[in-house]
Amino acid sequence: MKQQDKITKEFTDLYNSQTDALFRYCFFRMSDREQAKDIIQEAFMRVWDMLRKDVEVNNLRALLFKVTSNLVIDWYRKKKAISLDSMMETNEGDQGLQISDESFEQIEIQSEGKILLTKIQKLDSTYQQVVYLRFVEDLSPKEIASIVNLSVNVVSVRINRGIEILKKKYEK
Amino acid sequence: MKNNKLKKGIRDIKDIKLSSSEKLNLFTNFESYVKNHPVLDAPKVNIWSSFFVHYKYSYAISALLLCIFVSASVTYAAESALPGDILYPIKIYITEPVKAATKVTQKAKAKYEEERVMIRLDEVQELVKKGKFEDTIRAQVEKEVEKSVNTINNMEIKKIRNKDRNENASSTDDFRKKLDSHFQNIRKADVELKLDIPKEHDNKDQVEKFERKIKVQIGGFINEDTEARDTIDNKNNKDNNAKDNNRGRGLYR
Repeated sequence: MKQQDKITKEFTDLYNSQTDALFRYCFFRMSDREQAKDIIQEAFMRVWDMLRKDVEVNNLRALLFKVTSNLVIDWYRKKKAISLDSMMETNEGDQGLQISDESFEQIEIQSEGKILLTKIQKLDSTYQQVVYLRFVEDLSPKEIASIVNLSVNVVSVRINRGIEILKKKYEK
Repeated sequence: MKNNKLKKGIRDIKDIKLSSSEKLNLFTNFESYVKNHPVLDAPKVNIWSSFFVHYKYSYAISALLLCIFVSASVTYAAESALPGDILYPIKIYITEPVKAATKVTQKAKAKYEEERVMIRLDEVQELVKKGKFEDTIRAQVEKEVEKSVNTINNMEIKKIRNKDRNENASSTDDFRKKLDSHFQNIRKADVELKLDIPKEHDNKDQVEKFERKIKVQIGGFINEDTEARDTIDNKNNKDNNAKDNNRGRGLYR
């Protein structure tokens, strides 16, 4: 019973702290509020399955984002019938942000937030996700690396370059 | 100004959240899922698999234990090895030197080397019984006996012997008696073998050659011991102006 309580508490804490961040991450990649909710529900259930089976997890937050990212990719595959090869060719498996005017209709967002999101989306697709996760959601380069399946060094370089470009866009 | 805009933008983005009702709805679904999929009982792992999974150096320790076990097994098997056996080098180059190293005093070391000589003779006896006491093996055993004898000589045994002549005399006498007894057994085994097998398959006078060689080696050692005793006697006699009681009384002349 103690093990159950411990894991349940861990899971509850995770839910309370990460649900909104996860929703945002999902939403900005899918531009579909309902689908984003379904994805994060599925992601939490999968993480629960891992926890209850005593799978060793070093970083729960990174795992949650990783599972969510994979579910988003799966969703795109089903929806748009994009081949794995073409995905690998273009973005090494990354899916950039998918923000449109219709997206902003589904959420309440202040003007500066809207501007920032628009500018992030104008970055090269290789920078979008890493800049967003680092700049907005405060994930570490190590966590981001595990989510996007890249090395920490590559992620760090992309974050720095992406933020530099973003700042220049603000200067214009 | 521009940094403020960036920070404001980040704050605005972070204000995007699920509504309370949406969160509650999601949480209710999770609760139901968690109830239907409870935590599994911890699998019953035995202590060994737990050791390997959780302990960082488990493989290194296991490899070390395996090496120790194999070494111990080989050493144990080598104890009964005879000249010509595969494990015999382990016996004479590893096991026995290790045992010799555990002897602390010079006296104990010397005693152990004498024991090694006896062990060599026992090995010869076994080989003679089996009709395997060949020329090359004889030469090997003679070499090992010579080593032991030289080792005894090189130690400060003379100094020790000179300190206590009575004790040294009796230990040398014991050594001689043991030697004689061993050679007797070897000769007996040789005779018995000759009775059982044709002459062309016997030990071909190896036993006689061996006994002669060993007695020369051992005899030399014992004679040196006698000379040392005589020198001390002479010195003592000079110092004390006493009669020489032991001149000419060597044990192996």
